[in-house]
Amino acid sequence: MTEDSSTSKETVEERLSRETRPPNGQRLILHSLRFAEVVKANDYEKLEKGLNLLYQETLKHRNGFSFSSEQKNYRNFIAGARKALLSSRWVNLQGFVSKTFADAHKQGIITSPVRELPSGVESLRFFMCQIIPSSIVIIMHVQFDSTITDSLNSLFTTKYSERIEKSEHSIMHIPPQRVKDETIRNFFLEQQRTSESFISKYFTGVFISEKTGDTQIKCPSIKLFSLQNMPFTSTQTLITWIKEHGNFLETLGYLAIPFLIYQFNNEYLLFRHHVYERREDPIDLSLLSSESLFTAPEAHQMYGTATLAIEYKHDMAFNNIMPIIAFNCLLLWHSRRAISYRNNLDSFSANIKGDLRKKMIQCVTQKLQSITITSSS
Amino acid sequence: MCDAKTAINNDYFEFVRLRQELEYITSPQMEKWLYEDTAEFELLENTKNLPHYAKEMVSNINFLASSIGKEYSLLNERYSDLFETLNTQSSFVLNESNAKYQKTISRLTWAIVVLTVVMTVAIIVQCIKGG
Repeated sequence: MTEDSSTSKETVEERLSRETRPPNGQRLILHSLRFAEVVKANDYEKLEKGLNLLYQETLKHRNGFSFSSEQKNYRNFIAGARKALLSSRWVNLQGFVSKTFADAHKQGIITSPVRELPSGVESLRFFMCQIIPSSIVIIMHVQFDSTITDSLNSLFTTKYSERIEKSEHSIMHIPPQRVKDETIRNFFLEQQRTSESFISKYFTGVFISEKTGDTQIKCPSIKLFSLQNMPFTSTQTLITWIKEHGNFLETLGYLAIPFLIYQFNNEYLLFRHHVYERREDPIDLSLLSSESLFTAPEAHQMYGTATLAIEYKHDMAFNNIMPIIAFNCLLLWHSRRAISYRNNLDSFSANIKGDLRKKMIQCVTQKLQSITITSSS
Repeated sequence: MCDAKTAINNDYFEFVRLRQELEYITSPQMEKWLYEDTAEFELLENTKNLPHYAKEMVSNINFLASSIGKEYSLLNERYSDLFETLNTQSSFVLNESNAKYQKTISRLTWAIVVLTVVMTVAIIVQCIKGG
């Protein structure tokens, strides 16, 4: 039965379930996640130690690549960052591929060091840049394997039931569609949390070291998705497509309103406004592209596959936008500090006065006691 | 008190430095360099002729920096007032305790003098009796 003939007979629930899946039976591929961390100048040494440890844990693999030049690159970069007065330096590190990936490609050439990476992560690369002298922005580029895409696509087709939430005074019925949205959103958050947690074992910066709830992500990020076929032919066609598939796009967590969506080079859509937005959350963006745009022979010649072309054609352009986003988040971090001082100033002063009195009284009592003992002896 | 003051001052100093550095890289002469090789995402429907995403983020940086700057200047004003009050408060407590301490010392001195006199008299009396 085709999708068109089934639409007339389907129930509201079935229609919603269909509209919240990737359109026309396509598969939504989650390629990668970039997240940015800011490391301040006084933590450069810790960053270098963390990177050293990451590289020390590299596994000996029969077709693995030497990593001594990589280490030289980041050490030189950090040494330069320490001395910088006005700087605009950057370094691109090849990073690692997972042992799972290397084992699966035993016949191929692996051009990066091999190491254990979190489940579902195929490779981890780093882009470090020092745009301002007082800090380094480090961008972790996590590329996922097909198991992550499989899990994601199964979430779109799962049948969801309503969830009942009981509180003291009320009972809430959370509709199946909302349960689906939350499950998919949590899936994305989980991918980022796992990667942040992995990195935090080696080094931390301003964002990862901040104490937040366990369920929250900490770093600003961009996810990269693709579908097999999307009409990037003209802006108007694209707008019509977005309006038609708004429910699917909202399942990814973003508002599907054309004046809130950006496009780049007629190849990528950028989503930034969340359906359930909380302004204090780190900036969490998504890019959506179409594989059909990267099937030309030139793309194959240069990148090998459409998937690699989607990821690498504008790699630098996407990396370069991350520091700007990171500085926004850094300022938000500063605003939270300033506001916490403002809000706690009064209790602060009361405590200080109370403590000071207590200390003085203790001090005088002790002195009096010692004088009494001396005089009586 | 010192810890709190240090924390605020450190954060303030870091913010001032960050703001200066960001002002430099987002200044009109440096802005072009900042957008070089950066993806310029344009709005799909842009009836209000809004800037590309990176430019919007830069203007957000300037807005945030200015807001935090205002917050800190208010905080600084308030904090220095608080610090002065605390100084007065601590001096007051110190003076109060010093006065109490001085009184006790003088009382103890008198007690020791009286005790010494009594003991001297007692010794003299014993010596006379013994003699």
